[in-house]
Amino acid sequence: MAKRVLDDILDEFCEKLTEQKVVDSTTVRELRELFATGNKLKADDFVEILSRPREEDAHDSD
Amino acid sequence: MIQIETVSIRELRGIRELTIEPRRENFIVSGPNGSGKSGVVDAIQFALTGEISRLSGKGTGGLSVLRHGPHVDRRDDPAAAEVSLGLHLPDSGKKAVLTRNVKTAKTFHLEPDDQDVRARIEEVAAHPELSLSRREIIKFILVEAGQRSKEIQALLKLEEIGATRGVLKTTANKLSRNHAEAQRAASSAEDALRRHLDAADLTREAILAAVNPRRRRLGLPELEPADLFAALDSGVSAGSSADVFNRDSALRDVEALESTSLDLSGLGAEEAARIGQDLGSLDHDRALFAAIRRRSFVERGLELVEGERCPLCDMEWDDEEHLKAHLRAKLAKAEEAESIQERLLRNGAVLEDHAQRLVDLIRPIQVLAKRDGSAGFSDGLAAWIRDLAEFAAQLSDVESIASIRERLQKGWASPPANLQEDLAALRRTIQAKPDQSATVAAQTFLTLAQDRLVACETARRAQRRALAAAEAGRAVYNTYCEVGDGYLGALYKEVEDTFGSYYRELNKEDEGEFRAKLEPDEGGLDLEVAFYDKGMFPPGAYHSEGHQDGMGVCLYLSLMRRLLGAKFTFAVLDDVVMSVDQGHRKKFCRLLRTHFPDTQFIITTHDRVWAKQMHTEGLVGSKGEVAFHSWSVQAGPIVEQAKEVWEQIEVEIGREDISGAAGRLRRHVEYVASELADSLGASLRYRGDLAYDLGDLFSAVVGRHGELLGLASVAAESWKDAAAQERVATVKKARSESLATHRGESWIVNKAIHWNEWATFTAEEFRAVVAAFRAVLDQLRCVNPQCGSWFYVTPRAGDPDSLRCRCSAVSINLRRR
Repeated sequence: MAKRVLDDILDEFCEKLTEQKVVDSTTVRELRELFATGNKLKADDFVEILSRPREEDAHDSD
Repeated sequence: MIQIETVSIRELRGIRELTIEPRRENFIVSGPNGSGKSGVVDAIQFALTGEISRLSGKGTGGLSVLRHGPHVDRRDDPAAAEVSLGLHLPDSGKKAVLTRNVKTAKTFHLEPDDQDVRARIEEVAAHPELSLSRREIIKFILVEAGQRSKEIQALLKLEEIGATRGVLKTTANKLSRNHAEAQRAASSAEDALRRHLDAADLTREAILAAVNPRRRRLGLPELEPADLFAALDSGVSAGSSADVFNRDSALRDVEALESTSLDLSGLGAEEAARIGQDLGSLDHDRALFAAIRRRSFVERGLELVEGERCPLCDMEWDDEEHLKAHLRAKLAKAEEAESIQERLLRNGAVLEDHAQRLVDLIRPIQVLAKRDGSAGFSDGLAAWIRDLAEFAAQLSDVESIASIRERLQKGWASPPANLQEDLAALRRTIQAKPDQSATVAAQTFLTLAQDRLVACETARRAQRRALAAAEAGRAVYNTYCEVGDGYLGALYKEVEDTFGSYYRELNKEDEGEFRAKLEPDEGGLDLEVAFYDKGMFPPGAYHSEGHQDGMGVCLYLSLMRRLLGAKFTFAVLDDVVMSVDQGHRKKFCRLLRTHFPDTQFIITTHDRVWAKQMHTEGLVGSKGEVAFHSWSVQAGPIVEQAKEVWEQIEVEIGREDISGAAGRLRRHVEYVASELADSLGASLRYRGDLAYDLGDLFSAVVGRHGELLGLASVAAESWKDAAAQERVATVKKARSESLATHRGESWIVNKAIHWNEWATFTAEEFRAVVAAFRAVLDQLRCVNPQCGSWFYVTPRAGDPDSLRCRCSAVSINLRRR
């Protein structure tokens, strides 16, 4: 039961992140991949993904 | 999952050798405290999981299955300790025997080795909650919300939700701190640019108003607002900006540091004082300080847990989850410590910000001082920058903050000696420099303006990224919480409904309207229950301890139902039923019988009356009990109704261990006689110390049995029931014969002879004693091998109606017409 619930939560979590557009699709994909590794989750891995320059930052760097 | 047919235990914990046969039915292990019941629970748990919870977890440091699992006399021989379980898979009908040895506890032998059965055993091993002890049931009820949430999520195997939530919260906090740092860096860069431009703000107009007059002076085209992203110094001859010196800008930088340094003691003074107060309160409560120190230590350890070895003390645990639970429990204890810790860190963060901003002011002055400052001033400033950077780094954890307490009291800024004088001298040196030509002044102004504008834009961009990351971190955390809480909320709703209905069944008379509310809140799980019609309250508020225990059992059962559904085929309730008070036992039996008809419960209890009630209520069958008594280190528990007692006595006589046999016989007969005295309602002369010996008990029991048979004769005669009269006559005749044998050995219950005298008997003499007792006791129990229970009268109080056994093969009427 637990695995099914956890998978369902992850699906809905990713779906909501995409809908809310607070993070872009690449970030959502990277987050999902991080969960899928099955490794122990570490805050620094999330910090790295969420701190990566995103599309709008490209204009800033001009 | 599985059900248990047989349990065979050898040299494990307090048991030397024992076989019981639950036969896939509910089964009771009864006996007074200290009689060895828990050994059976340990054995089942060990066989299924390779672990014994009593030897792991909180407060069990230094204990291990390998060293402390075997019987104490076999502690150096773990291979001697072994448990075998005869298993049955209810859905497939498969059977197998699982054997696990303490020496090789990580693996087990299965006969026949069937992959399906093996998979089920692995599944059971992943559910330690299938074995529930009395001390565990209350952990769902009387704990704070955060801990309850952890316990229940752990039970439902959903602790990963809480762990992920924790990691995402840490992520959000780290991103928030990164943003604060980026914000400060951007603000410092803006200050530096504003100072250089000598502008009130940094609007495009203000920047151009400072830049364009210099460009005009150099004959360069003026910049439009739209050109602001182009270089402010475009057209100015290139040179190394490190060598560029603009007198007016330099003076403004020096004045900025001078002005700040005038009141260094006031900078962050309030926060430093608050830190001092909090550290002072810790002086009065060293335990609190220890809790804080431990807390940050344990927090760090918890983050680093990976596997079964504790990252803090290097001790090996049975598994990672036990270790984590242990560390979490330590954290939960330090709530007060947590609030002080938060305050210290919050005030520390403000001081860190002040220190970093000060460093940003010092840097340009250190460059100027290298060229124009007094001897050693530049080096002094460089050392100050390093010192402030180190100071700032010490404000991120409580222990480091405590280590700089003295500095915080004295004034944390610690400027170099003669700072004011050196700054004034530097200012005078710069002022004394010959006026720069208007052209050079304009050129250096534009070059430095461009440098600082680029630095400012870079810092602002980093700040925007950090802000976006911090917002994303918060959104990711909130979204996960929202989704997780939604799922858990639905799940808890289901559990709360079932929990409420079970509890109502138990307490129909007085709490028929009982309701419960399980509500997730900020990672915690609030539990409120209705107290009559007075409202909803925490369970510990008004309910009695007995009711709280009942809630614990009901919540456990509803969680197991939700967790395993039809797979909830087996559970061990170790003394848990004692939580159910006398008035609700009947309903408890009915609850288990009706809601869990396919679940095999192995139940231990030290309350013989409760055990009998479970028989009477049909929760367990006539053969569904093993009763222990008189545990000893050498012999382990004595099994009351088992023929093994007599076999064991004979074995001891055979090897001429009359002393061992005598001890076993005395303990057994004393125990059985006390049980029979109770169940037959024998009269004993009251003793204040309740230390009745065999002489008191045995005579009273034999006498009471005779009385009851007398009543039976009279009753049968009054009903003119010839068949009954004949049955009673047969029983009386057999009784007389056995007593005749016994009387031949009557000296054995003569108090003048101490029981220890038996130890001096020859084997043959003692065999006669044993046979005499056995013959009498056999008159007092059912001869049906499937029953074998001791006789009892009903009702327990008042005049007896009948003399019975559990299977009803014996049911002798005692009431006259």
